[in-house]
Amino acid sequence: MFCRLKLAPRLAMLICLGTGAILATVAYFDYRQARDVLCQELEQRARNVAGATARAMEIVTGEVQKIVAQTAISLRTNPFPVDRIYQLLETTVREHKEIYGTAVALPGDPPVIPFVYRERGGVARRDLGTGGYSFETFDWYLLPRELRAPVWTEPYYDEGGGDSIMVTYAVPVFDEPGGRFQGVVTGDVALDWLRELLATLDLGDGGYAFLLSRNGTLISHPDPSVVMRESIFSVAEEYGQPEARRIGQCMIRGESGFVSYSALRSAEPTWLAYTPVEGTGWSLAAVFPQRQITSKLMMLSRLQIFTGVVGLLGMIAVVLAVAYSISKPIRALDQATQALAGGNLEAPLPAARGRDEVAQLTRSFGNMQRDLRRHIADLADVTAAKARIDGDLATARRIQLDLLPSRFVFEPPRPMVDIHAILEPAKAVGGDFYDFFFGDSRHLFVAVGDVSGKGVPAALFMAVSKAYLKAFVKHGHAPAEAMAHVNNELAVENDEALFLTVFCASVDIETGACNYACGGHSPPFLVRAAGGIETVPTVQGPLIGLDAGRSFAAGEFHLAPGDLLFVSSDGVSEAENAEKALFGEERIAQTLERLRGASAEGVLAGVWEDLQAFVAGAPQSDDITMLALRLKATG
Amino acid sequence: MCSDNAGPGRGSRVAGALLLAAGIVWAAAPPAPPTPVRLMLTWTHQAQFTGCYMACERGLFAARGLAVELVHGGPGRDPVASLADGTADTALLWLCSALVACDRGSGPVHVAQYVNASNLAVAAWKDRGIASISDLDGRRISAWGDPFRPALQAFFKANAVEPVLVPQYWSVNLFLRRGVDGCSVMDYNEYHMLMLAGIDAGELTVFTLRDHGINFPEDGLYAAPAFHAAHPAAARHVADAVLAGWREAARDPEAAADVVMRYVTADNVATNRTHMRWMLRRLLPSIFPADGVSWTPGVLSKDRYDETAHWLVTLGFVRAAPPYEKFVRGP
Repeated sequence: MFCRLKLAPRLAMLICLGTGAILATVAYFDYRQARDVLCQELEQRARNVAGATARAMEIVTGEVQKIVAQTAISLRTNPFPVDRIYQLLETTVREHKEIYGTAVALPGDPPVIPFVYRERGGVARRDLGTGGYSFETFDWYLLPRELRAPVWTEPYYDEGGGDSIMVTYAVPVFDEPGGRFQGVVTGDVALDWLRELLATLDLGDGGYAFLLSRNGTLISHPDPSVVMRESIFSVAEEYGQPEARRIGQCMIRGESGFVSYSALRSAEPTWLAYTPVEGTGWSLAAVFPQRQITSKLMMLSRLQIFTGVVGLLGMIAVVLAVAYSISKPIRALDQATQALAGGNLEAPLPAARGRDEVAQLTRSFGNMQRDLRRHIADLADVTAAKARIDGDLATARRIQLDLLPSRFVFEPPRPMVDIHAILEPAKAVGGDFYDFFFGDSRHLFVAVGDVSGKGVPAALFMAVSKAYLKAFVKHGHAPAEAMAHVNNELAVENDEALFLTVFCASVDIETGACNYACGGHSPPFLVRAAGGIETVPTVQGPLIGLDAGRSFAAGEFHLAPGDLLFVSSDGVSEAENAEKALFGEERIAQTLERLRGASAEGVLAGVWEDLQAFVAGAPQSDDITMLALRLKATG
Repeated sequence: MCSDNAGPGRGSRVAGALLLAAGIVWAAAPPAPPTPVRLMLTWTHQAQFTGCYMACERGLFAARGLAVELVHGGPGRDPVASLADGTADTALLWLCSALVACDRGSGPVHVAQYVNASNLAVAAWKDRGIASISDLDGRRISAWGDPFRPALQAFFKANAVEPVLVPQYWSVNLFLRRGVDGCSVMDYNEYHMLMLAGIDAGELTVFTLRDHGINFPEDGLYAAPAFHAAHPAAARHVADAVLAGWREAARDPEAAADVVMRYVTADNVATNRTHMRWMLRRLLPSIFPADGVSWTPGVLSKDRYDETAHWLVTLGFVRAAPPYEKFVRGP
């Protein structure tokens, strides 16, 4: 997708993606850090609130404990009469507004239980030892007696005590420390103030506090329907929340803590801080919905996201502007190069300002455009020159080929000769030649030559050599003599050290006797009509044109009617295929054997086909010249 | 008419409709006024008396021509005494209470038996080293008095242990505060209250008496002799209606728990639905036998009566007990 975009939007998008990812990462870590900080703050606040509230309760409960304990001490040290006890209790109730009522239980027969309590703005007396009140069955009496220690009873709902939740602090009295049980002194405390105290706590949106008794009963809770009816364990069981039960167990064990849990009814994620109210066995919990944190976090996050998005948009605009300004000369350069690529070498390039990479590129394109124009102009000149040379070479080729005999049919009375030759130069012109002509009425002269090198110099050397050879043969020289003369002529002022190989023979067409000479040429083949292929016997003869005064040996062989003489240049035997293998004398012999009985033209065509099949399109590296001669049977 | 300080009114509306229907059928005869009956419960309102509440709520009393007033018990309110002094016409009593009362000459008349199996148990702290019954020997165990004491003593005697018994009254707080090593609990009540005070079952060793050979029947319906003599049919109808109420509760425990909660809430009883549901669920198998044959619902099991009577005599709680047939037939 990115590859399809142009440079500027691609640059802008990549930068924005990268920056956006970095911003998102930073925002995530910011979020976590802010959350941790807020959680720590909340935990501290929760612990502070819970702790401070518990301490406030302890002030009240501690005061009650002190008052009741003092009364117990007074009774132990001063066994007052009942009237005096009533007075003591009345003073206590009057002077301590936190105490709703106080009693002294002295078992006996009859029991004496003076009880003083608040009633209609004053204080009233009652003897609980009369009227069948089974004081010994209640926890406020039973627990301190059996435990032999002061106790706070479980809170209870007192219908007669102003319909409020009450709790009693009960202190056992012994005749001496660790001695005989004498009775119990109690102080009743109404817990209305607890609800008011907890209601005034600033616990934030949705926050609240609740108080558990030693047994886990909810003594105070914002929902009055659960107070004194439900315990944290009953609610945990009702809502199937073992975690709440575990927290409740920690609370009633007097532990402090700060935990995360789901509110039982609403399942809202909540933080809960709890701490014991020392001396009472109660546990106070402050509950803070986690949305207090999450709402702040959301606000922070929203702000962060907003600023991030605005910043990102601004950055996109800046990046686009910068990217477009950077890519503008590139676009202009692109348009110019497209025109250039379309062949318009005169297309103007944008001006290269400055020293940046784009300017450098523009200058480079300018240089390239100038060089290209110059090169194309040079190319046009060279092409024109080459066309001229090609034309000259084509003309030279025609001329060279015209130098060679092209008629292979002799007029009567020499119809008995079947002769054919072909020459295929490797370049436009070549250094090979062949020739045949009658020196007199009986003797047919044939020759095949191969000049060293190729091209125009070899062609010129070939033309001169061929002309000399024909001239000396026409003057009646036998092949060996003619070749000696040619050698002498060519060796003069041969500064280029060109030379040639030649095989030439004079065939008596009536007798078949052949006189021949060979100057460095590979020996021809003789395909005997009677069967067999042989090479013409080798005779001494140097390369022609290098060294004047050299002599050439003459050889003789007989060409019977039907026998075929096959002469070729080394362009045949040394033709290479793509694997650099040579066609070779052996293949020539095999081909000639296969073509036995064919006409001279047919033999040359067959050898040519085999040769082409062998090289299989490999470039021709040397001129190819072949000549075939057969004497037909007379009469 | 069914009434109680906390009694919801739906039952009376149903009863009215039934009475109206009866009036149409017997259009020729003027409807007889319902017989007023004061039915006293053994304790404050709780699921232990669901049968009574359901009989009120579903009009089962009214359909039988009864106007039942439910009178709750509690500390200082003794049903046996109420039957004797005429402040209650009928009452739910434990079998032990009834036999003791009979022995003292103020015997209420047995009408029906609802709870035919014992739900009493002793719970003890495991971490005090109590793992088996023999570990109770010499330990401080808080134990209720009448009507629970005979079964507890029978349990200790039958298992040859002699714990130090500490009086137990209205709470298990002495046990929770580790003042004793064990305490008496009702399987359907105080045991669960221990759970609701944060105690895990794994912390306790619980000896359910019925699993250790002591299986005293508990709640039954009794009538004051005078009331029974005057209104024998009404007493029988009360018994039938309460049993039918229990059947309703067994059929739909959640609806029954709703009814119980209306009573406890109206009477400001410090309890909760979780506990009431537990109580109802644990109580029902001792009313309707799981095997369907151990006893006939509503009828006192003769074997268990004889067992109870035997232990009461053996332990000296009564001098003698009437034969089963005489006890269930009444005067």
